[in-house]
Amino acid sequence: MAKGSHPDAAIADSDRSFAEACVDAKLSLFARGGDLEEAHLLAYHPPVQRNPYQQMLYASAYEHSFACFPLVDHGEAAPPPVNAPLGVHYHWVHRVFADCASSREAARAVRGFFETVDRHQQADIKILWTVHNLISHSAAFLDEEINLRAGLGARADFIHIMNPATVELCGRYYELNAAKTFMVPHPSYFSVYGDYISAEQARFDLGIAPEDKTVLLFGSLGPHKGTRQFLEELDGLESKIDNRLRVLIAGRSGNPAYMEDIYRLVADKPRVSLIEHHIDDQAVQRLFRAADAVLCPYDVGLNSGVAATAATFGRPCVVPDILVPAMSGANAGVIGFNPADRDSLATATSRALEARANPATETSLYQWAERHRPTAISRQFFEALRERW
Amino acid sequence: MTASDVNSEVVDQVQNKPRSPEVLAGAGFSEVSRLALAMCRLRVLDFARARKYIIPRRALSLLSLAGKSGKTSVLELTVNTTGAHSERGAVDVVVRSFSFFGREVGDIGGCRFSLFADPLNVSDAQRLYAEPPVGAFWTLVTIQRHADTRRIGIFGSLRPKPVADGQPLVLEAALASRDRRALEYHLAHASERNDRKTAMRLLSRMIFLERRTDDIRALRFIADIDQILADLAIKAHAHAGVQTGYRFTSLSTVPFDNSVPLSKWLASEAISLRAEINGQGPGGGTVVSIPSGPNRGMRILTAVFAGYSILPGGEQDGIGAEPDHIPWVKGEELLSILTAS
Repeated sequence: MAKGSHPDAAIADSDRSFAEACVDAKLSLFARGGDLEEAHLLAYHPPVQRNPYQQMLYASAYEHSFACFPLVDHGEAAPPPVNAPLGVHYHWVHRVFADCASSREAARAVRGFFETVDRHQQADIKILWTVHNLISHSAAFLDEEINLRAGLGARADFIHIMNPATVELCGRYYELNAAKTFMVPHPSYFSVYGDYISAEQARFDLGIAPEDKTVLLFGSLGPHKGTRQFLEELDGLESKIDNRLRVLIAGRSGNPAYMEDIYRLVADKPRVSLIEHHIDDQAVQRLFRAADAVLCPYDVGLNSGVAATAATFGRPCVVPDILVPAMSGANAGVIGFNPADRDSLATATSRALEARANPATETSLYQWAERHRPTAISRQFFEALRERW
Repeated sequence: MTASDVNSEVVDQVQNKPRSPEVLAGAGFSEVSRLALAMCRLRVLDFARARKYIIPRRALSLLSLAGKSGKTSVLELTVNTTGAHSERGAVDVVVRSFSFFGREVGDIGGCRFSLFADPLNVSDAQRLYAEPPVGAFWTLVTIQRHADTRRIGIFGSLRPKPVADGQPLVLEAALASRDRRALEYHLAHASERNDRKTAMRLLSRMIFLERRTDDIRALRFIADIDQILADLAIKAHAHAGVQTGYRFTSLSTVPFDNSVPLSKWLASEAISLRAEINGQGPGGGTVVSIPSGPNRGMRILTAVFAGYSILPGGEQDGIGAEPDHIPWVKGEELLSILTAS
């Protein structure tokens, strides 16, 4: 990893320079026996550790003569000291604003970001961007973030999208040039998380009675996840579906003020369990296996790792309508609702619980997960990238 | 002291457990008084300048005038613990700089030092060096202990002083010290002399003390050169049996610098060289000639690394006069490999 170890340093060489990483990349590609004429280097930024997405996306890189490595400080990228083309692959770009306290600082951060990207392009470094969200969930500087995304979209050589409606949906905020985009869906978590605990064991471990209809809300807790509104509406939702729900809410806690709301809302709901910490990769299975359905009651979304995780464990998932195309092929296992119509959330939840009762749903979701396993999606990604690069 | 007291102390020492706070008091350390604590909160009391104090749980700070920008200043602090062994990271010291009007200048959040706490029978001061950045008028030094339960004592002024001119520690003393400036001084001298052995000893000590990425990278870089030159010295040989060979005229990429370990740089270049020679068709040969030109020394090293023999001949002129500069490699050392090739 290049300069400045990541706070959650992965098991990677955090002491090598960018140049050394490039040379290592070439040597490892050569050791694999690939054609060096085909070699490509892809430095990704920002590297994230707890979310396995990047490792999943790059799982088949070597098959396509790509060597991918993390880039903590994207300003470090420079023409590599080896004869191989280099690209910088941007992911969650809103992290540009991590240290910004004001709009002015945010605007300055955007300018600095663009200067770096422009410098890269002048040095013949390709720019690739994966559009994970329309706007970041925690956007504190909306105008600046729109500017950032628009500017990166205009500069990028290639744009990876995971939802076929991305260009249209992003158009509400900023334009993406459709000609630069290529569609490769979000991978499933097939063989990523531990998967050996039975549903019965998981429910027993969590104290869930066999007859309890259980829904899971998974992922870091924040306003964007719709958890607060869901809890506020839970009683009404239960009466609409004529079913008492056992609710599991699991994920890293958000900002203290938001969490106070959550604590207040769950305090008088004994059937809601709040597990407010990061869920270990081996523990993810327990939550998903125990659930009858997974809810993503988001206001907005473009792609969802949670929905892909639910499918991996064979559990139906309720998602905002605009997310349904991103899960194409999951059939009745992915049920959309209209965030503007809260009744539709109850209907979708009811349908998800019905789908859970049908064994064909689980089979269909497993098949989706198998087709979308990380190695397969990674292969699609690099084939599409190579066609364009 | 009774026999049981002695026994319990021995057990404490073996387990490195804290003993009663009285142990520090017995060694001359005292609690910070309420008045002194209040003054420390105002950041105006240099509380441990003249007396040994037990560090309270809350951080203490001192605001003082910054020295001249760019001129190194030093804090000398003695830190003790009731434990029987030195404790790494027992105390953190943060030095921050501010303009006259209170705006932070230099690195935001300041420069952080992690100090060892030594057993009571060790009284060596640890020296912390800092350079006030341009625009600095105030320096704020904050000290905080890490351990919750262990009693940590401190002695020394929190007011940075200009570094006194004078003889630096001799090498062996520097190697036994925690004085980064002394270690860096000898490292710079080792660099001038391309003395890898001494540099590796110094860097090992610096890494042991602080585990800085730059130090780790530098040690790996030098150790790699050390190893690769030893290997090349064995491999290098000239080939006298043939008259022609592949003409290796230029490197495939950028010349070697200190951003990549030599072994990796050579491996990368060797791949390109082999690909080039193999591309000439079957029987591309096992011998290369290295004409004069830029980076000739590095081309020879690459060829040797790749396992080729070097064709001797008049074109070798120029090797000895001024071989390529390789960081941490003495000219004569490189020459002995190049001329053996």
